[in-house]
Amino acid sequence: MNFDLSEEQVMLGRSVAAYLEKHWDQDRLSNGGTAARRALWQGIAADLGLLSVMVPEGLGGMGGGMIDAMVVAQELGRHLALDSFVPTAVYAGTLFKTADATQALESVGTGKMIVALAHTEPGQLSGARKVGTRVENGQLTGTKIMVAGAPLATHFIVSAQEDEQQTFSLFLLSADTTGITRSDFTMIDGQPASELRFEDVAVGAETRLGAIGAGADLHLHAADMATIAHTAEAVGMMETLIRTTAAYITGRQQFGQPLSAFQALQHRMADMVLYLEDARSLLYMALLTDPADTRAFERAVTGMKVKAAEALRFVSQQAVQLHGGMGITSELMVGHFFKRAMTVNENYGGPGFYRKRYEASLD
Amino acid sequence: MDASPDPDLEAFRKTVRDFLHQTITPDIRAQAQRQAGIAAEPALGIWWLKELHKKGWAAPAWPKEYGGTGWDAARRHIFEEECVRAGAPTLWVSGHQLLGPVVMQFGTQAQKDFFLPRILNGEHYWSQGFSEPGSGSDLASLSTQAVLDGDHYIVNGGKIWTSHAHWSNWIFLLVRTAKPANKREGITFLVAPTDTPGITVQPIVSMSGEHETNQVFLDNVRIPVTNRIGDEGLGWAIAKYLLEFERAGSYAAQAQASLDEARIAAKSPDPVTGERQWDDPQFRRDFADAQLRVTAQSWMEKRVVSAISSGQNVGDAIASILKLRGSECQQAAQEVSVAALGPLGMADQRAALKPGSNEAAIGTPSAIRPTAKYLNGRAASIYGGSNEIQRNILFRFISAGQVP
Ligand SMILES: Cc1cc2nc3c(=O)[nH]c(=O)nc-3n(C[C@H](O)[C@H](O)[C@H](O)COP(=O)(O)OP(=O)(O)OC[C@H]3O[C@@H](n4cnc5c(N)ncnc54)[C@H](O)[C@@H]3O)c2cc1C
Repeated sequence: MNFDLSEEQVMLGRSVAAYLEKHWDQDRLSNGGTAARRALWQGIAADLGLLSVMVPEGLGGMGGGMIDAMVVAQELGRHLALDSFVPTAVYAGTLFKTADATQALESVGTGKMIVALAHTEPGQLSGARKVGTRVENGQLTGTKIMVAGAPLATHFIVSAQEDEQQTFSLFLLSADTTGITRSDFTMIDGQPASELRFEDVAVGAETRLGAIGAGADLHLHAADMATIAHTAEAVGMMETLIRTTAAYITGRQQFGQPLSAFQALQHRMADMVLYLEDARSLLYMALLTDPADTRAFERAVTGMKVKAAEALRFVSQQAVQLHGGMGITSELMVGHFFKRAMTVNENYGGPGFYRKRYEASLD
Repeated sequence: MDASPDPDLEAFRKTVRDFLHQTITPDIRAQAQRQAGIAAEPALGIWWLKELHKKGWAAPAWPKEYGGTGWDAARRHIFEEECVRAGAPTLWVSGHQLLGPVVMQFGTQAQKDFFLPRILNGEHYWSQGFSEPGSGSDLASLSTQAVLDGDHYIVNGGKIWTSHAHWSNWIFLLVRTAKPANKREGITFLVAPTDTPGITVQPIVSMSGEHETNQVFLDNVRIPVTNRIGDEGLGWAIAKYLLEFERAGSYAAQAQASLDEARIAAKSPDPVTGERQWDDPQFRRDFADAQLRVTAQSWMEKRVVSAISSGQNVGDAIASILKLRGSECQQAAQEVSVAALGPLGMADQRAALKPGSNEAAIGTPSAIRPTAKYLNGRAASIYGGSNEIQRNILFRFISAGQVP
């Protein structure tokens, strides 16, 4: 057993950190909007080639695996940066690999393709295997909501029903395809997002990922991989939150002593670390479980997500609480982390969905 | 022991309901729905206060001699409950809930005659200048200075978290007039119009994007001695008296409203499969946990209200207990109401969160408020004496043998 990162992986983490420290700050995050995100994306794709972490060397990628993705996501989490990385490099990367979409995989690696997942629909429950969007006579029609990152995306992955009986299929569509209307808004974590309307959008067989009706399974597997990366992001976020909070309560004086002198707060911070370390242990477990062993993998990923979501919730809530009034402002990073914590937890179905799957996996 | 409804109180409840039914029209209700802060913005709040004033209900907690309703605790509680149920705008409390009782208790006759009617009719809109950048939980360490110069105090320093200061035309302040060894002495309570030269208000934007609170700079502000409430050095006693009114209040009704919204959202079926989140055992368990917290709080409030109404001394610890459990159950309920929205809860709805805004909701109208309410609601365990401080206070009562 060995839980150490390789030298290359350590270097990778350092280079990401160095880049972010130089090119990403809170002000750009809060005020820069889509433009700042696009600029960082270009930088990270071109200068660091990060989007190719999981693309095989034969396709011009770095040929890494989930551990490399974890290293990157964790740094992104520490700096609260670049929310399209996981959906593109990990979710779409996994999907394209599984569905043998070689060309698409290559474009992800070069940073040319930025992907947004258009799956959620009004009123849809998490874990849905059927959707309201339909393909009839080669034309796709429907509405997708909460499409995170859509205004930045070059491509959408769209779930649609081709047949009454089966589960949905997935399609890869260029964002400028005729018949797609976007109405943009912002998510609470500052991410640009859109509602997408598809009206008689022509979808040829070449745009389908995998077989008819295979979308639900393809999606679940890619979402599980992405959940591992998001948990790495969560671990990075918790590390920063805990460090920042410790520094804050050590620096601030009330009642003639630093806040850190109060045992109630010391114990709270100790609990924050316990939650973090639970999450980290289960992250490693999921990372080191072979996805080919589908039962073990599902149990590992879903269990990890349950505990990681609990941890991120606790740590982010307590970080705000321990900052007092400052914690609820948009001035300090802690409030921005708090909102990102909510969206990270809600990704791909939210903690409740994973808990049910975990409970079922114990059978 | 007997929990059967009192006919007098039920008749009173009906009177309140009838009035609310007429006044809180669907349009007002919809506007109030677009408010996610601690209280409604004055555009809506002052309208509501004036409606209540016409009815003679602007100050439920004040005695009749000052223009209040003279209601006992049970009636006040019913009134608050029904206002929440009707979806009325949440009133900003600094004037009638905080300053009013202080003026009645500590003010001169001239101060009573001047301030109380103007609080009632909404002419004066108050903000509370207690906290300072260096003095939050440790309020008594405050350092804003007031130096006597003839018949004026000259005030220098600054306040922070002064909610609604950008809308208010009056502010009450705790200032330091002496520096004795005991920092609780030497504090004095002053009031001033916010357009007094030397007062500058700077916005603080909350993480949900709202501007509800401020930093206030005080730079050679001249406040006449006649605007001092109580004697010099009495400020701490006054502040303690006032904070009891801030910590009281009913949380259960608000929290229940969040849960009721969550229930409705969770019961709407997936248009494709017909399945409901309400039938999801995981969601139902989280909902039930929150419901039990709210139910326990509601019965605690009933117990306290009933005891106060029958003239019993409920003890000071109960204020901390109500505040702790109240803020906790409210936060739990708000969290469930966000969860009930699923991914839609992750949309930033701030464009629609304005009174009179015609901006469409992202998704459905019921998604406009819960997330911003949850984000703002994190402050409930911080302001009015943080929950850590409340637990410290509660233990003082425990160690003194007064609780349980
Ligand atoms: C939305 C909002 C509105 C507000 N409105 C007003 C207003 O209108 N007027 C006004 O005067 N003030 C207002 N306040 C200020 C509020 O009362 C203070 O924020 C509060 O007293 C806490 O002070 P602080 O923010 O400086 O936190 P700090 O005192 O710095 O506390 C930071 C953390 O340390 C903890 N802590 C502090 N001391 C102890 C201890 N002894 N033991 C254990 N833990 C401790 C706290 O609980 C908190 O978790 C408002 C605050 C907020 C958030």
